[in-house]
Amino acid sequence: MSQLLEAIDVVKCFPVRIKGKKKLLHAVDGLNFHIDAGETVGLVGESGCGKSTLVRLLTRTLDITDGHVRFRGQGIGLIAARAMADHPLRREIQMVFQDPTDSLNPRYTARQAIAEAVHLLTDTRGAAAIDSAVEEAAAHVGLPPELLDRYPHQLSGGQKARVGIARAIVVKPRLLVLDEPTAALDVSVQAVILQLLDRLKREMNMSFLFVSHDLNVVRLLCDRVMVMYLGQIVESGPAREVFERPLHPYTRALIASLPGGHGNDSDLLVGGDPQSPIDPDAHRCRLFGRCPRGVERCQTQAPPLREISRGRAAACHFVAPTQREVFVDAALAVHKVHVTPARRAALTTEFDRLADMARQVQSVRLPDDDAPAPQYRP
Amino acid sequence: MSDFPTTATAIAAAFARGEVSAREIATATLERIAAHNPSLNAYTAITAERALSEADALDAARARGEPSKPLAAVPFAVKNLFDIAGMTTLAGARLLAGNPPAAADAALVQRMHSAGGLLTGALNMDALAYGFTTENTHYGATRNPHDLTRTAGGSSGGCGAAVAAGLVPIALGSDTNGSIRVPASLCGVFGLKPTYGRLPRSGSFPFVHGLDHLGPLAASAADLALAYDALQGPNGEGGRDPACAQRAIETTTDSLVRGLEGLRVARLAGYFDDQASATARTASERAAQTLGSLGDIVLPEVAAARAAAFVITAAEGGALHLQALRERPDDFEPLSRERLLAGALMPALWVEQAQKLRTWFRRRVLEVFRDVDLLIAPATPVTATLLGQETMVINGRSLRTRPSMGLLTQPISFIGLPVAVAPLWLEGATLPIGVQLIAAPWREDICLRAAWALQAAGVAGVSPKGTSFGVSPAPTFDNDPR
Ligand SMILES: Nc1ncnc2c1ncn2[C@@H]1O[C@H](COP(=O)(O)OP(=O)(O)OP(=O)(O)O)[C@@H](O)[C@H]1O
Ligand code: SF4
Ligand SMILES: [Mg+2]
Repeated sequence: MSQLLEAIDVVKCFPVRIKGKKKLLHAVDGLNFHIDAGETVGLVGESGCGKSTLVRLLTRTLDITDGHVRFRGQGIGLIAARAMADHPLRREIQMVFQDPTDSLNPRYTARQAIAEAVHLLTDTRGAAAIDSAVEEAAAHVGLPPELLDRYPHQLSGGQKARVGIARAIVVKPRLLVLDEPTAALDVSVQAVILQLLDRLKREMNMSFLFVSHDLNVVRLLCDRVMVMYLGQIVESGPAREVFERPLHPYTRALIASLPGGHGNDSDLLVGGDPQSPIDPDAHRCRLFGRCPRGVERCQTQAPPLREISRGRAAACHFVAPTQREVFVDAALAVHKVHVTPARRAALTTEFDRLADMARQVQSVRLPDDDAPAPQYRP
Repeated sequence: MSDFPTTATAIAAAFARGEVSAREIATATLERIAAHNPSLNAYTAITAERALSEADALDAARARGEPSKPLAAVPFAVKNLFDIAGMTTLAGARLLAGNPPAAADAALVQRMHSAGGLLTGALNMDALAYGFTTENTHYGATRNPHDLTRTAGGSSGGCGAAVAAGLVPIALGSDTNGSIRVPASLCGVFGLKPTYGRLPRSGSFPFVHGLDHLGPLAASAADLALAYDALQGPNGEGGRDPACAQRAIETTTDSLVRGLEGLRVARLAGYFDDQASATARTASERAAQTLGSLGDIVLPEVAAARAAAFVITAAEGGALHLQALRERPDDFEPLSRERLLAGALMPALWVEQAQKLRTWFRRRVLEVFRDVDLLIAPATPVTATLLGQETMVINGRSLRTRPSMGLLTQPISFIGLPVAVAPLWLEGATLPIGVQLIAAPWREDICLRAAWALQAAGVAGVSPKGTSFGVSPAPTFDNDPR
């Protein structure tokens, strides 16, 4: 699958003042990940771990402190947030906000709100053409045409959410970023909107980044999941596998704490205080103090996020990579080749394919005469 | 301009008879390229001035009464891994774009030139020849002339598209695992991958030394033979291809009319049916029937042979580019970069075993040629897929499109056998599909005679309807394909 977006060592620090002293709050601290074309990726993690900050970095509404972001192979990390309004990229990466009420202009009808996006971001012109684009998008999100001429205050929460989604998809983006799209909705409406998103995912040829702290939602909707803790990704992998067999202590704790889950109480986080995102100790694992498995070493050596098995990565000293990953890492080191984590993940896939091929070759038992003994004479 | 002949054979003949000048041919060809290349993206460079000056030289020579050459005034183009004097050899890769221009033409470009060919330009390909679809991230995808939403195949996709669209009657490509045969099949043109070691590779950018072959694609079986005959010969002066077998020229053009008289034909079944769609199987059956096949043959361990080719390709290709993978990864094609890197990291034992299997497999297949002279198989599992299509379904199994396009070609080039591809248009088909016509080493003549016989029987040929461009096809559907 071709890669749509790649983040390499992305950092966002906010300057803060504590007791008059200047400090840095590491909201996003060295993130590496990728989103493939057509893929739905979930981003989970507790409140304050940096999810919304990351979303704002990717949609380029917040300037990046350090690192690179590539979209379709082009570096986009340096586009200034204030230049974004006029940038062609704005059409390609669209965003659905948490609170549909906040994000809709009260003086615009639903039709006007959706049409504005068409007008601002596409070449579609002429009332008839714009109208038909609006109606197509409305149909896509299940918004009845008779509601199109209503103002936000005349719409229910679920209907407003549909307007917000229609506004984003009407310009046919390649990536749709949804930051807690159902958090502000009634539980009954949440389910309906999730069904809608599930359908859009299958019908529309685009990638989704779905931010949520609801693990069940991510499990249902996403192909792949990334688990964030205090500004860093601690685990990533295919959603089903991660939920069935979480590797990282933090993921295990999240799953163990799910109501009615089959988790183990010994996986739950212990009582210590969370570390602060302000000037964190770069040599200490961020989970130390709350981690049920933490040991001395975790205080002095931060575990890197590394490939554990095909498609899965985790950052913990106690999650051991498979032999294949150890081999690939060793071979990379011998050849002095450095790869980004996204490339490292792709490398495992390719290496596995070659291993499959080698296995097929080895399955043929060759007669001895076809494997001649070495001859030393010329 | 549509009055001009379009096959190489006809152009050379018309020029020799004085019916047309080389400049007229060159001008008309360049106009056609200018008109159609923007939608095809077959060419990465057009050498208009060179084509015109070569044409003028031919016209002047004719005026002086010099004898005409076999490919006189025949426009051609080459995959952009062939050196063209004065131009940087890209091999489809941005990685190489900063290299200095080539000092001289590649050996085969020189031969085409000496035979009277007019070089019109360099053709698009998969980066570093690693791919079967010519979806080149840096230089754009080449589109299939029969349906612009589909791939032209690869890695010699520009060759397939340029010949199929009638831009040139002959193009030179390269084939490591199927890169001539796949685009010939998907674009519906003739192609020849000669025996390993037959044609010198000096002045072409390598991929996998032990598997790389160069060869022509053409608008008719006769054109294919004509081009092949002009390309033959051992390493010339200063030739640097250590694998070149230094064989004397064995011309084929005159033997075509003999058809398959006295030759024993069989169809490859087993793996070659299992990995083929119903369309591809029908094509091979149709060809087998036409050529009087004696029956089906099943080769042993073909899947393992293909796997071994895959392993060797990744290992050698990866080793070749390891330094650049380390230093300039961003200049690689993302679609193949990690496959190359994985190849470079592979344990040596895997490669060693693949090489042993190769020796064994070659022996087993050569035994088959005691009883048979020609083997027939489909060239691709399916007809052209859509650009960007990630998976395809063959016999109920979903396979990755890009590597799987070579499933049927890879086991054959693995052991260096000569293969011609002839394009078939099945009843009601909107897209062509090719069959491989495979012979024992050094028997390209048999492959070409089979292609000619299929064409003469009206079973194979470039599009009977022309392409979506309305470019009139070569007059190849009459019973005299010459
Ligand atoms: N403009 C800012 N200035 C200073 N600190 C900020 C700023 N924006 C966010 N932060 C801090 O960055 C960290 C990450 O915040 P962010 O909003 O990204 O978290 P989140 O994961 O989206 O949380 P939630 O689940 O509650 O939405 C928090 O510690 C937050 O206080
Ligand atoms: S490295 Fe140590 S503290 Fe960090 S998650 Fe693993 S066990 Fe826990
Ligand atoms: Mg948030």
